[in-house]
Amino acid sequence: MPPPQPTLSPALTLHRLATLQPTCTSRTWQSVPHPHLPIIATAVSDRTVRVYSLTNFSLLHTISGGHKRSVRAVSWKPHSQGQSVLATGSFDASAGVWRRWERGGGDVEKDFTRESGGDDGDDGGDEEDDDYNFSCILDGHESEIKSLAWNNMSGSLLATCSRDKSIWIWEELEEDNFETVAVLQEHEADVKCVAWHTAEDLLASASYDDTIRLWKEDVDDWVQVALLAGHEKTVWWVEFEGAGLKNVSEGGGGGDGAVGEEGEVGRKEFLERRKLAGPRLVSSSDDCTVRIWRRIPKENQHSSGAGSVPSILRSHSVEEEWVQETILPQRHDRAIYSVSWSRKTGMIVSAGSDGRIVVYQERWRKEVANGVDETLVPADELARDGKKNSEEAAARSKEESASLTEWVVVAEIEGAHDVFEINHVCWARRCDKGKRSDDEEVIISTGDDGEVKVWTLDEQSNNGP
Amino acid sequence: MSDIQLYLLEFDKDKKETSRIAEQSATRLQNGELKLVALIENLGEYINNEESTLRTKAMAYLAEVLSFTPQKVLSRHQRNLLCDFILSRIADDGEGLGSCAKGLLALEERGKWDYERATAVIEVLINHTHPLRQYKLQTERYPVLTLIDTLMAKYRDALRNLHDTTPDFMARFISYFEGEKDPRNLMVVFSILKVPMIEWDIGADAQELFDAVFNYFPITFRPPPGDPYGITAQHLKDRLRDCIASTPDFAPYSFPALLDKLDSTSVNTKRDVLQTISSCVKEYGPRTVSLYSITLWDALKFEILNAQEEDLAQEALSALAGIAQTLADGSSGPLNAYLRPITNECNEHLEDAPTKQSQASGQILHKIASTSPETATIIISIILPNLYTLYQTADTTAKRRGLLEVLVQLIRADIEVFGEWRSLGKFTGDPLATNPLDKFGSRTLEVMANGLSTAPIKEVSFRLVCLNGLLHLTKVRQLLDDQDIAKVIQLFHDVVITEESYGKDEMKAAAINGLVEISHQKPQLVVDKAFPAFMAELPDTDADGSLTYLPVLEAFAKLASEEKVFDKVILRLKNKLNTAVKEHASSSYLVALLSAILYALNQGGVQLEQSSESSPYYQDIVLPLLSQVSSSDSSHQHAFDNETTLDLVGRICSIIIRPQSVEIQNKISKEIQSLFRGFSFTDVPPFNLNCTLQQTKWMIVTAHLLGAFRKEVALPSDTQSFLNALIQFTQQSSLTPPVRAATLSQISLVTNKFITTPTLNSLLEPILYPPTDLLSPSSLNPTTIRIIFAVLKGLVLRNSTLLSTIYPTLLSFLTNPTYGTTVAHGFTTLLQPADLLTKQNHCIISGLHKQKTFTLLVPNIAASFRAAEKETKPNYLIALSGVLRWLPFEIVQEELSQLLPLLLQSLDLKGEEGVKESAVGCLMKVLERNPGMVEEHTGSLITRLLSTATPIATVGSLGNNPAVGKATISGARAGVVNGNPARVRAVALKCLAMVPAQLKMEVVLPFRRQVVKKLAAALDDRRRIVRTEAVRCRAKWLEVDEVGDEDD
Amino acid sequence: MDPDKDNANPTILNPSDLPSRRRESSVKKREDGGVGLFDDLIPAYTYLNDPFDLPASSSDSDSDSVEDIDAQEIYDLISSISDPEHPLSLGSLAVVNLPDIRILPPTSAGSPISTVVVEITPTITHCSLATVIGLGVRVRLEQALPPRFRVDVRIKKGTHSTDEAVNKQLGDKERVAAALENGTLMGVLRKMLSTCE
Repeated sequence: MPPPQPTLSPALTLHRLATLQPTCTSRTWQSVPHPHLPIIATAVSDRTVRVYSLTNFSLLHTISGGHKRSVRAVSWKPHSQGQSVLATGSFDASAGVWRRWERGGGDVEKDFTRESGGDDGDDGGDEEDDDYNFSCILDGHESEIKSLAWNNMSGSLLATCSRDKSIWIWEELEEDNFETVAVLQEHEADVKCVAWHTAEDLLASASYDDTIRLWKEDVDDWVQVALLAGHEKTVWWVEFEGAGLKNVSEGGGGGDGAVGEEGEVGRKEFLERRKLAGPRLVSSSDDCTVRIWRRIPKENQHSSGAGSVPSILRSHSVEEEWVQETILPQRHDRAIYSVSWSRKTGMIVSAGSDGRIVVYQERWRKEVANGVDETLVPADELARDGKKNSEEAAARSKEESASLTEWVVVAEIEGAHDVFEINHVCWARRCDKGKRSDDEEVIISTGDDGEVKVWTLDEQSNNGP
Repeated sequence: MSDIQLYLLEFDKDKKETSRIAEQSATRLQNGELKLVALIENLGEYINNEESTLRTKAMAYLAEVLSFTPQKVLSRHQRNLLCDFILSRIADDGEGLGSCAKGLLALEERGKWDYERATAVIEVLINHTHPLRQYKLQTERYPVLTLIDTLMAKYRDALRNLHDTTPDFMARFISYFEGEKDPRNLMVVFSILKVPMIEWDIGADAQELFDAVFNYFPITFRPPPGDPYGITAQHLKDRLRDCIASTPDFAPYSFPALLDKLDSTSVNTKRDVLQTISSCVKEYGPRTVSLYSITLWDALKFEILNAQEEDLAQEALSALAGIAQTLADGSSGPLNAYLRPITNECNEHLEDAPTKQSQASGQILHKIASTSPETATIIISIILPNLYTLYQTADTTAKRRGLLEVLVQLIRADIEVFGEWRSLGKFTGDPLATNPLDKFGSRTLEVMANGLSTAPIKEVSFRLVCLNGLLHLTKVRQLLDDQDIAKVIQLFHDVVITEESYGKDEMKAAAINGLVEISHQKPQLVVDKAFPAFMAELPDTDADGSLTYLPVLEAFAKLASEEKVFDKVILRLKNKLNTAVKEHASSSYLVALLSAILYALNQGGVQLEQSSESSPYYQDIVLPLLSQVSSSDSSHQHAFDNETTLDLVGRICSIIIRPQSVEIQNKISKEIQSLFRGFSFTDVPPFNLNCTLQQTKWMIVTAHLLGAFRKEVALPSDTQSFLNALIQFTQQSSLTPPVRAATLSQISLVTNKFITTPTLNSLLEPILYPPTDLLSPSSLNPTTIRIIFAVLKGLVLRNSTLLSTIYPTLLSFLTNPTYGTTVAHGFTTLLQPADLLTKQNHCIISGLHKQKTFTLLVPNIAASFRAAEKETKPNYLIALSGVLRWLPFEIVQEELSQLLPLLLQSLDLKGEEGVKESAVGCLMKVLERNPGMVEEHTGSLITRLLSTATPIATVGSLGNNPAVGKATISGARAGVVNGNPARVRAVALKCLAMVPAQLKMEVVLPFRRQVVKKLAAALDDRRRIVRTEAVRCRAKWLEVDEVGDEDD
Repeated sequence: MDPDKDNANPTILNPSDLPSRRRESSVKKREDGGVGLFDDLIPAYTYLNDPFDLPASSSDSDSDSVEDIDAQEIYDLISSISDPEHPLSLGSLAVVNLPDIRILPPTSAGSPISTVVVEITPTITHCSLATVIGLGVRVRLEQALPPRFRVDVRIKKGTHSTDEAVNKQLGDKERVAAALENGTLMGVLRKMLSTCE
């Protein structure tokens, strides 16, 4: 079932479906769902990682003994066959890699039924072979590791970043044999977050120096290909849009979603341009904004599949031009620590220090008679970014005005973790018995109170399960 | 077998036995059974044996025999022979040196040696056993050292002569002791070496001698646990210090060496250095000290100006003062030379007052100035002028404050030197000394008087300094004349009376104390100037209902603490009271006045005790008051119908009557009875059951009188009927609670002190059992229960045997469905400190009464608790805590193991906060005194304390409440969810805070995170006191750390 | 003696001039006419109050009144922290001052979050310990205030050469968290906070 098309906002409400049990007695930093199993890994400041079931929301494993300080970040290796591979980044400046054999070769359905069937012993993970085994440690960073991520394409590249201002890219040549393929040091301060493009080996990084930088391999050398300035304070999080186009929902234009002929044409072209540019980037910052960035496709670049882009680019420079497409409606009044872009619905969720969870949806702008839109963001955008180099601003404002879509807040909740800060939010496939469809999504929030909460997104009327 | 053989046999087995044998030989020597020659002969074969141990033992035998041999048994000749013998042993055989020394000591005791002998002994020792450290056994070296010490003590000239005549003697003598490590021996070595240091001319050897002792500096010796000789590091330090300070000849070596060690990072070393410097400057004398005074100043000042440790700063100060003191004994030149850099530097620091260093300068100046008139004069006349110039040009009040603080320091120093009006200073022996402040007196007065009266009242600290300064100024002997002092007094009482209250009212408090102190110096002035001012502020009546008089009244009452004005204070207050009564002042005003009188009387307790015959205060205060209370005059009726008023009247009478002798008290009691409606006591309470409400209130006053009387004083009627009357009287439903309470405590007083032990049983029989039959379940009701406990209260304190029969019945009442709980609450009264039943009130208070009640009650309660029905269990817990809360830990300890579970359960009671409070209090005692006991209960203790202190719904779980658009704010609602009052929540947190400190790390650690998390809720408690405790508690728990990961 | 010190000779406020809570309360006492000095004349266990009524009577009457956390309370929490280089409190060194403490109410009706803003004034503009002091203040408040408060510690404008940089650090939750896992630094902080009561 596709997400309910919003007719009139306020559209949706968040209901707490569950809190993963048992909760932790100390701060939890981040929770990442497994690529195909119905489980989720949580990084805890008590130096452990907790693995919970998303079918019955109970604790399956506690991974401990690897780190001497807080575990700050976790990442599941994608496309791993027959085994689950988890990378952990810690304040002790090291990254760890852990493995656990999946029974039933990790076939989702099979695995799924087993999980849902059994909150009994066999998930307890107390038998040796059933545990996550420490497989190797990656040393190199001088200070706390703040984030790490496996690349989506091959799943053999692991990027880690640290307060030491550097980003390291490791390649797993064969099991447990990692080689440092790059150490990127352009950032002027702590690197807070790294994220891989969903359709190419393009790496994005966010930093305490208020910038976002993009990195790519040129011949066999990793280089910075773009610098995205705009945020006015520390950038806490970056994440790429899912590959493939998402449908833009109808504007809340007083019921009639219909648009005139030329409107339809305009939208077609618009989507074409977007297809050419490929997945966008979303970022959140201490400046209380969530921003979306878009690549300006190179001229004379025929729209072949995004995957083949590198081969074409090899001829010309690897430099890329990225612009700020828009700033999402501002609903946070303190640092936004995390933002996540749904691969399924294209919705975005954000959360942070103020304890709010906010969900945004992109929709067609309601057309106005003369086809020009007064409700354009750029006006104040220009004002805000006045100080930044004008041409970039100009470029962006051109883009902005061309934009036929707008982002609206479709759901919001206060004090989602009581009075505590929320360190991380993300989307995950819903796997409990109560799920309404196989691709229904839930939002997962992770807070200072040591709790990981699961939220469903329901229509206003619906009072949730 | 000869003694020697036996001795050798026993030697390694039984010390006592060997001594016995030696003693026996000694006696045989004495009564001639054994000839000395024979003894020596017997000895021969062993003493020359190639077995070294055997030689040693043999020598030991000889020494021990000698030590047992009485005086006069050995002839001078024999002694000499023995001496030579032993000395020869020492000379050609190292073995048994210790015993040899012992032997020599024994011989010396038995007859003084001559010059040569002494010389011979020391020479043999030094020539043949040098250096002493070659003898590994402390027990070997110790006697030798004692021997040398004796020589030093008794044959000083001999040794000295040796030193004067033999060039290298000193060197060998010093090196002889090198490397001594044993504390006991060191003590002796130090005392030996001290002699040459002080008495001999050591010119060339000075440094060697100094090094010999200074090598041991600083002493870092920790006596072994249970060290039999009880030698502490301090002992060693003291002796060593004496050595270092012993002679000025050391100065060239000691000062550099010490100052060098002053850079040490160890606080102890620094302290040691500073103390040593102090004693050096004291001992070395002016000439030497003058050479180093400035060097020392330059080094020592840092310890004060950049103080890290307060006590080090103090040590440094006294060292500096010491220098000044010593120099003052010499010519004025060096003293001036010493003070110049000091005053210069301090003047500089004054420039940027108020800073850490300007404060330090104040301390320095004060400490040094107070050492002698000369110093004081020099410093004051150098510092003050500059200080005034700075003061004139100062741009901020803060700076002026800083300057005046220093000024006050100087005045204080001046007082210490030149004295107060009523006490001479340290040095005012010499008539020559003219007080340097004379020149500055009026100027100083003016500056500070101005500061006080013109500065805005927000400048608290500044005005405090002014006030303080003025106060000291008035004290300085013969400085200010009476007008000036009067002026100060005026300023002070203006602060107290007319100034508006501000902040913590530090000013008013200080001003009052100031007046008290001045009235100690100049009583008459205060009476003349201040009293009228105060009186003028006290209205005759408070018709307008304003409370402005309160602070004035408080201040005035305080003055009573100065005995010189005590009487006058009382008098004025009494007059004011009379007028107030006439003028129909409100009861709150009367209460205030009476409180003031009572307070004053408490202050001047001394005067009251002194009263030989009937106290004047009885005539002046008690009688008038009582007649007013009892008079039918309407104004009095109205004034004294208030319980609080009457209570105060009672207390005032009591404090005056209490100390009087039995005779006087008997007289008094007669008079008083006649006061209260003379004809027959049956007209007044408690005998008259239908007296007016007004009259019933007299019980409050009479309760205090009954308390004040000694037990020999005759009661208005025979005890039996008096007691019955009281019991009857109490049961009237018409009584106000205070009157009932008063009556009950009269019952307690009677049962405690007015019934003799023999008659006790017969007197109480008819009351506890039929006819009155208080103890029958059928007669239980709120009033009788109160009476029972009132009776018991009297008995408990005198530790009566009746208790053992009454308590069981009492305990059985706890199961009573209707009154069980009431009875339970009564238990707390048994041991609670009593208001009227006190030693001062001549009550019988047995030292053992707590112990007794404990053993009679607690085990039973604990036992019956387990047996008890669910619904009556709480009663036992209530009763238990009622008893426990007043018991010292030593007593409770006995039963602790079985009491702990009960205490913990008391925390679960609904309501009953009093019970919880005392339970927690008890748990705190346990944690403090015997934490081990709690360990097994740690878990339940922590959870219970948490639930007592924090809201039921903790922050974490509140978030879980589903389907809420916005989360509830757990915070501000804390206590609401929690039934306990703030006081209990707070004390629970206090207790919880003790847990991590008192219990073992590994026991506590598992709970850390949980506790820290749960406490977050208490941080948001509605009441501040609770939050404060929560913060403390949480801090303590946060300190409990995860075990080691500290890799940086 | 300590050339390594940033400011060896700081100006010191007098305790009497430091803001304190007793201020209001002592005044209040006057209004309700309690005779402060004479209060302890009557012993706590006066025979006049009846133990049998205690459970009822002694429950703290004002239990329902709420005393909100105010600037003064926050001042009391942090003014007792001791300076890392002097045996003196931040209050007496005027590093923390009552007027520089603000409590901001929740930004929206729904939000449970209040914010505490503390501006600290280093004793001298180049004090290298500013960060440590700020960290100390932040840690103290995070330990002592209920979690519904967000704590923002800043260097007072213009009182420090690199105040912006310091502020950014103090504001960075992740850095603070990591700092608290650093043994040596934690040692320093413990010492500073040990004087808090």
